[in-house]
Amino acid sequence: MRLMTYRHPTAGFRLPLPWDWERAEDTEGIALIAVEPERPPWFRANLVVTIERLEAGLDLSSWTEAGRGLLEQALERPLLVDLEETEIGGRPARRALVHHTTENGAVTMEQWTLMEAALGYTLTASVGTLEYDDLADLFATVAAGFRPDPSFTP
Amino acid sequence: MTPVRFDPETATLRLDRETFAALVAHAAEPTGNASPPAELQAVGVLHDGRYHPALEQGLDAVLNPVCRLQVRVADPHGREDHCDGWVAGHGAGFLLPVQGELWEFVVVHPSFVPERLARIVGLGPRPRVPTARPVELGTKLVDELTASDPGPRADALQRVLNSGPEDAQAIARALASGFRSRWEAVVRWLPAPGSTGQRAMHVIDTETTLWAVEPGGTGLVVWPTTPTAVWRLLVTLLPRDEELARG
Repeated sequence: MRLMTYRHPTAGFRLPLPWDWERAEDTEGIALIAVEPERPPWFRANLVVTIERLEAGLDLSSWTEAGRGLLEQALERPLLVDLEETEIGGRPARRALVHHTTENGAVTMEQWTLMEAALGYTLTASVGTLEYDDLADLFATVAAGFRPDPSFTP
Repeated sequence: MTPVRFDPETATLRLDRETFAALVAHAAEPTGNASPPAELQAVGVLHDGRYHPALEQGLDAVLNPVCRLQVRVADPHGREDHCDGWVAGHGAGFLLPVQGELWEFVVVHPSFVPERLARIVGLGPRPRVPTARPVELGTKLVDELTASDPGPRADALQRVLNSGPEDAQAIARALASGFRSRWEAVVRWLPAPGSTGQRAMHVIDTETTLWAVEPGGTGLVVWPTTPTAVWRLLVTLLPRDEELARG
């Protein structure tokens, strides 16, 4: 899959993205939504980046745990498959792999979280479950190439 | 006879195996001589000669499967569960042990088969063991290390920990830290030319990590794996269209 280096126009973060995925920026509090081209009737794989200002003193672990709890409440029939402490561009990061039910069927969601200064960045990748293996390496590549802009303040 | 319960919301039918067999026999020949079990009609599984829509695709999968699934899960306390699954184009059915004579027939869309399997085998986060390497072990030794009987299991663990090869000691230490289960999932189908007609997974699950098991050398090769790697195998367990015999 051909990738391009994407830079967000206001938040300045960078990541590799498939060149032909549709993008929407700064919509309803979501910094970036990138969606694969339509292939009816299949679930459209997508990547979402959100940025939130964190309370003072919050560390990656407690922020991630709180966020994961809320996420699992919001998802239908969530199944936590994996949790991993990792690193993105030299920054500590956490990765979660979750299966859940949507109106479009079974979805596997992979989520990376990391902090930069007082901001928390979340990169969420979702795909129809039976296609997860096809896109897992792409998702890992996108996550590994994610770089927040240290100078960005919302 | 176990009372039958049916929850259309979750497409779940609780029943004993005898009633399940009667259900399948009737579904195979609804206009034949076999009359449907009365208790199935009483709980709404059958109405006016038709099966409830929540179960229809699952029963069709049982009768006309594209592939068959078998899962065996053995825990360290001597419990060994055997689950059956049938998958067709639009539905999948699982027959899962609950307790004693009680079983659950659960119907899902085929895209939910990996999730169902993951729940059956208890897949979830596990710590990583970055230093452990693949190790070849005799089948007998793996069986002893994961025996359901704690006595022989402890003896085998002690033997390996005292004098086994260093790599095998990593597995023994993981098993000593908490043996959760040993499970196998096998899917079989009528193969197209060039297809093996089956795929299998074999995993040893411990508190400290997951271990993938495959035939190798003169016995088994066991190596550390991750829940993500196991999930990737689960989502590719079902046959692709080109692996299926035509017609």
